[in-house]
Amino acid sequence: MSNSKHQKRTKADQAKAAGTPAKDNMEDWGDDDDSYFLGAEAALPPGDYGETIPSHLPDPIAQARVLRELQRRVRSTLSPAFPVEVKRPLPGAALLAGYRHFALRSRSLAVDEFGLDPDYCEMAKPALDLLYRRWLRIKLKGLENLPTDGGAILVCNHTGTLPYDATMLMHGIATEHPLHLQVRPLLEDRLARKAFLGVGLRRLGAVRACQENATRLLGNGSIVAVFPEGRRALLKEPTSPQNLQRFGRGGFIRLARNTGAPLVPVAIVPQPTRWLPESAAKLRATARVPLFPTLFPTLGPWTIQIGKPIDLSAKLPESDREERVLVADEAHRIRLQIIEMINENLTSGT
Amino acid sequence: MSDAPKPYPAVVALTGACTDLGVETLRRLSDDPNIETLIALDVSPPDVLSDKVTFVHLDLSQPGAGMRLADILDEYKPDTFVHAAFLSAPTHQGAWAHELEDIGTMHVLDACARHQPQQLLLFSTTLVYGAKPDQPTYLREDAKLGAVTKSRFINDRIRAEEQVLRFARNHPSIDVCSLRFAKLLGPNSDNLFTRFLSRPVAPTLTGFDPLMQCVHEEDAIRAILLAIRQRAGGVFNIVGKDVLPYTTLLALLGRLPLPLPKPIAKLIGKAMWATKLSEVPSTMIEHLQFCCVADGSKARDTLGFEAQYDIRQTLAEFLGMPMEPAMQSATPLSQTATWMN
Repeated sequence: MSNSKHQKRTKADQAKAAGTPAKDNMEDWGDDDDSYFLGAEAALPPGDYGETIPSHLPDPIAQARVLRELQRRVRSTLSPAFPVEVKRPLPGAALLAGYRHFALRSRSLAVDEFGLDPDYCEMAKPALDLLYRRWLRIKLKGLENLPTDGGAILVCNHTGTLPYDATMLMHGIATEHPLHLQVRPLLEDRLARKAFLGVGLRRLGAVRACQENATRLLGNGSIVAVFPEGRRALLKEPTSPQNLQRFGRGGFIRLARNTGAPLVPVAIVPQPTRWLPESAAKLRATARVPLFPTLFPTLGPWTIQIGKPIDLSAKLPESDREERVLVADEAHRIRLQIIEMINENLTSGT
Repeated sequence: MSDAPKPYPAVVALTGACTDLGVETLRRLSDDPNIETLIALDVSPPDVLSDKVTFVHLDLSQPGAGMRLADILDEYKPDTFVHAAFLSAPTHQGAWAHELEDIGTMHVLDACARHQPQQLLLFSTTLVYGAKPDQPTYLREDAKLGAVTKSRFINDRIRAEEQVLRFARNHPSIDVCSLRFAKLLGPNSDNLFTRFLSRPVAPTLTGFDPLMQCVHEEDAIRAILLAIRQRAGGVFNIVGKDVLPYTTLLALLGRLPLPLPKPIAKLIGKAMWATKLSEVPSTMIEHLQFCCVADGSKARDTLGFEAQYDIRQTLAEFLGMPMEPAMQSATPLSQTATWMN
C-alpha cells in the first residue's frame, strides 16, 4: 500500500492510535505526492489539529520597517536637511586636516564661475611682474580710454605663438589701472584645450572663446579681450611680429552688436626681432611650429596702446541683408585702426 | 484643454520607487495632505511608512512591462507620472541596463500615451551633454546631447531622454518635464560619484583640471517637488551653487590625486573595469578632462528653484564631517573677481 518511509513517518501516529492505522490520513498522503520527497519530512502531515491560534506578535518584517522609518524621522528632526550620518568614516581626522591644508596651499576654496583662482593669481603675480617690468618693459598707454562702467570688448593683435600678449595685457590693466580691472581674455579653442597651458591660463582668468561665454561675461560687466587674428598669428614672421593677419569672421562685431558693449581697439607692439636667422624664420613660417625663440618673448620694450572706444549699437542695421557686409566692413575698419596705432608706436619708439 | 484641471496632483505614480531620489520623493509626497494616493512601482517595496503608498510590482526590464503598466495606470488613474527607474551607477550587465533604461522608458511612454496623465516627469542627468572641449562652459537646456565616447551608461540615458523629448513633441497636451541633475552628492546618496569619491585615491589626468559641479540631494528633492506641484513642462538643469576645479574638490575631500597621462589612465581604467575593481568604466574619462557644467538659470527663472547648498557645503555633507573654519569662511566670489585689491 505505502512505501517504507511512509510507514516510518506514521509510526508515531499508529502508536497513538493504539494499533488502529489512521487509514484516511494515509490515503490523503498519496504515494504520488512529490512534496513528500522534497524535504517534507519536517512538515506535519495534514490532519485536524484544532483551531489556528493567531499570534500576538506582529509581523517581524513589518516591525523592522516601522522601526527604520521612526529612526529616520527622529534623525530628520536633528538635522534641518537630511539626517547626517557618518557613512564613510575616515581614519585620522587630524591627518586629513593636515593633508587638506597641504593640498590647498596654492588654490582658493572659491573660484569664480569661469575658474579664475585668486590665490593662484596671487602666486603668479611676482613672476608676471618680473616679465612685465624687467624683461618686456611694457609701456601702457591710453588707460583713460578704458570704460569703467559695464563691459567692454578689447580687440587686440597677437604678438607670437604663446599668449604672452594676453597675460601681459591682463597683468598691466590689473596693476596700473586705478580700479584694478580684471580683463578676461578669450582663448582660442586649441589653446584652451591644451594640457597644463589651458588650465593655468584659466586660473589666471582666461575663458574659452565662444559667443555664449563672452555674452555671459559681458552681462556680468566684465572686460573681455578678443584676438581676432586667431591661429593665423602663427603665420607671422618673427622678424616682423607687428604685421597684422586677416581678422576672423567678425564674431566680435556680432558680439558687440548683441550685447551693446563698446569695442576698444588695442595695439600690442613688440620690438621687431633682428637677430633671428632668416632660415629659422622661414622654417617657422612654413612648418607652423613654435621654435625656441618664439617660446620665450624677445627682450622689450613693448608698448600697449589702448584706443578710443567705438560704440556700434547705433551703427548696425537690424536687417540681416546688410548686416553681413557691415560686419565685415566694421571688422576691417577696426583692423586698419589697430595697424595705424601699431605704426604710430613703432615710429615713436625708434 | 481638459475640463477643469486640478490645481494640484492627487494621485502620483512613480517608477523606480527604491532609488535614492524615488524613495525620498515618496516620503515627502506622503507627508503632503493634498496627495491622496501614491503608487510605488518597482521590483521590491520601498521603505516608506505611509497609508497613502500602494506598492505595485513592476519590472520594466521584462518584455510585457508596457501592457502591465498600462493596466496599472487604467486601474489607479494617476495624474502625475514620475519616471525614476534609472541606474545610479554603471553596471557590467550592459544588456540588462539597456532593457531597463532605454526599453523601460519606451514601455513607460507607451503606457503614458494610452493613459494620458497630465504630467510626465523624467529624472535625467547633466551627463547627457557629455564633456567636450568645443562647447560653452555653461550648457543650456537646448545644447546638443551626446557623449564623446561610447559609454553605455550615458548612451542609454541619452536615448531615454531623446525618446521623452520626441514624446513631448507628439503629445502637447501632456506636460513633459525632464530634470537634468548635476552630480548628485549628499549623506544618503549612493551613486557613481559618491562611490568614485569615496576611494582614498582618485585618478586625475595630467595637465587637465575641469570645473566640477554638483547638487545636494536635498536641493534635488526640492526641485522635484517644485516640478510636481507646479505641473511644470520642459527641460530644466538642476544644479548646485558654484563650481570648483576637480583637484580642489579632491583636496577638500582629502583624497589623494593620482595624476596619469590620458592613454595610461584609459588603459588602467579598462583593466580595472574588466576585472571589476572599479565602478567607473574608462569610457567616461572625458569627464576628468573637459568641463560638463550646466546652466541652472532656466530652473531659477521658470521653476523658481534656487539651490540652497553651495558646492563646499555639499561636499562637507557628503563627507559627513563638520565643516572646517577655513571652508566656512570661504565666501563665494562675486561674478567678476578682481584679485588685485
